[in-house]
Amino acid sequence: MNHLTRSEEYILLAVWKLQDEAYTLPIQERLSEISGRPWSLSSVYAPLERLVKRNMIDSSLSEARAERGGRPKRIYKLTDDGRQALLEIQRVGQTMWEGISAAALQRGEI
Amino acid sequence: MNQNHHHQPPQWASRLLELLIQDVANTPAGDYEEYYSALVNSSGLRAARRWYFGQLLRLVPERIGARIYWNMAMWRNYLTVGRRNLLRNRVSSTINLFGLSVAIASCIVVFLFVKDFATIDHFHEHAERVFMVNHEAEPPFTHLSGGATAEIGLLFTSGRVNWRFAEAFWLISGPFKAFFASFGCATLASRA
Repeated sequence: MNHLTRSEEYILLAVWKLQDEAYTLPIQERLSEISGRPWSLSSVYAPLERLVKRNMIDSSLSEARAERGGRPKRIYKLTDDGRQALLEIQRVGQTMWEGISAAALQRGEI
Repeated sequence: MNQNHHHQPPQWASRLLELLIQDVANTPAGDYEEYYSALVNSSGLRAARRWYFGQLLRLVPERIGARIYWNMAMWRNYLTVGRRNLLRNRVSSTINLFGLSVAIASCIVVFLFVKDFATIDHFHEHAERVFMVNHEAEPPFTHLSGGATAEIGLLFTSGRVNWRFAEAFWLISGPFKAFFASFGCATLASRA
């Protein structure tokens, strides 16, 4: 498996968390809120597109909406591959963090 | 996101955005419109407009790149289809290609003859003995090339160059002077 980038990982998590509300704007908002840094729309579009291409997320169109000028939303949804990838990332991450204490990292010594 | 009021970007700008993005369902244009509305509510109309127009400008290079990319893809496809068709009908494509080559070649030859005839004045009394003399100098003197000086004419009148040879060369090379010259065949002047 090719490694996912950090932004791809975050976007997968956001898509999972937002469920039926998972379209670009809430994803971008959530990422900006949690990371404390503004994410541009294009920094969400690009990884989303890559993930769709890699078959980790699927998309469907909502009904047309007036506040979008009569245009639909594209709602994203994790595929089985996407969920597996997230589980893998979590497993690797947890193993990597095992025995590392945040307090020690803060102090700069083990 | 501030939901109190809905604002729309200018009609022409949102049309332009759709053209630049070219999404099947225009979902990104919808995202931009929502974001614009939220920006108006949070940071004011000026900031929102500046953001929106900035997005428009940023999309232009990508569109140009995409145009070039897809044009190239199209032409590659044309070439592939053409090659396959040629290979499928070998006999007829050979005949066609051969015929076309002969036709173009004869056009070029006719053009060279006509140009040669049209270059020289035929109304002189001894028109058949009028020659165009070109002078080509070797490297250190190349600035002297291209013209013919009176001295070169004198070579002929003084009898140091054979008229018969000049005529023969004219007959052979005729319209193909440039062709012969390109193979390093001696021009009259350098023979002299």
